[in-house]
Amino acid sequence: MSELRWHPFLGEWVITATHRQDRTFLPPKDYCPFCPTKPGGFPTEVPRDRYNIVVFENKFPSLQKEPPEPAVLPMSWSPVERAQGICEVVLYSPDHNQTLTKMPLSQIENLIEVWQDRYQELGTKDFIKYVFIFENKGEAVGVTLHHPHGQIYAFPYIPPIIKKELTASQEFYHQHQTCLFCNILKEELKEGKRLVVEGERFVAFIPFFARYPYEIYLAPKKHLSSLAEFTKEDRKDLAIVLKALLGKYDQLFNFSFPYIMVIHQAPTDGKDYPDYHLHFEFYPPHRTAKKLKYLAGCEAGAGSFVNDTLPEEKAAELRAITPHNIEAILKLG
Amino acid sequence: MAGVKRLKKEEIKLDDGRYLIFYDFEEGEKNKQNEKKEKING
Repeated sequence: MSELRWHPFLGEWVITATHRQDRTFLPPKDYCPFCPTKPGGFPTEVPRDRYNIVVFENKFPSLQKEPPEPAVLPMSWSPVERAQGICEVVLYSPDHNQTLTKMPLSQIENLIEVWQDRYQELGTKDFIKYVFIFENKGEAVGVTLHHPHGQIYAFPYIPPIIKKELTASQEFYHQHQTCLFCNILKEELKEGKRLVVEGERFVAFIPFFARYPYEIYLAPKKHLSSLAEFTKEDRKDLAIVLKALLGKYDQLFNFSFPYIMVIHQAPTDGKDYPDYHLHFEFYPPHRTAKKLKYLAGCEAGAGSFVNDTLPEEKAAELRAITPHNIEAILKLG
Repeated sequence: MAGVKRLKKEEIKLDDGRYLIFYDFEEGEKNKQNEKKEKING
C-alpha cells in the first residue's frame, strides 16, 4: 500500500509506503547490494564489475513515478492522493569502505556535479515540485546499508520545512529588500565565533539558533538559489569545505561521525525564488562520544527543540580540530 | 595540469524496469590537445 494521507492538524502530507518494511537491512559486507557485481559473484543492484558514480531508482521507493491508486477512501477531513514522485539512490563510490569524508577531492567534485545533474533532470518533470537531496550516515540515524550512498526524493509537493523557510525568506525580503540568509552569513563572517570552516566561496558554521550540538549550516557566500547555478569553481570550493568539515567531524570523537546531511534549495515548481539561499544542513545525533540527542517528548511532541550546548562553544571545539585551514585539506587531496 | 572534466552518462534499464545511470568523468578532448601543446612547448 502506498499513498499520501493529509494530516489535518499539521496541514501536511504523510506518505504511507508499507512495501518499505521489506527493504534490505544491514546485510553482511560480502553481500552488499550496492557493490559492483563481481564476475561469478552474486548479482547486486549494479550489473557491472566497475563504476564511478551510479544513480538508480530506489527498489523500495516512498514515492513512485506511476503509483497505484490509493488503497483507502479519503476521510471527510483527510484527502488521499497517489504517492507520485521519484526516489533515487546515489552511490558515491564502488569502494564499500569509502566515506564522503575520505573520498578524494576530485571525486567529491564529481558527486556535486551529479547532484546538479539530478536536480536539473528531475526538476524538469512536470509532476516534480521539489528535489530533495540527502544522506543518512551511520546506524545511529537509521542507516540500513553501509555502502557510501545518498538519496534523492523528488516530491510532488514542497515539503513542510522547506515551505516554512521559503515563507520566512520571502517575508524578510519584502520587509528589508535583501536575502535573510545573506544577512546571517554577513553577521556570522563578521563575528566569527560560530564559524567552523571558511573557504573562498563557501562557509560552514553552527547557526546561532542551532538545535543539535554539532549542527552545521554550509552555504555559498554568494547568493545562489540552487545547484543549477553552480560553476566549476563553486564545485571545487564546496568539495574543499565539505571535506574539511567532515574531517573535523570524524576526528571529534575519533570515529566515523554519523550525521544527516540535507540540501535545501529552490523548488522546481516553475516559480522564481530569488529570495531563497541554497544551503546544506547537517544534524549529527551525537552530543558526546557516547551520548545521543534523541528527539524525545519536547521535540517530537511539541516541536520545540532543547539544545543542551552553546553553539559558540561547540564551534570553537570543531575549529580547534585539524585540519585548521584549506591549505591542509588541499595537501590531503 | 588538471584537465577539463566532462560528465558522461549512460542509462540502462534493469530487469524490473527501473533505470540505472552510470556517471563517468572523462578529460575533454580540447583540453588534452592543450596539454599536448604545453608538453611540446615545454
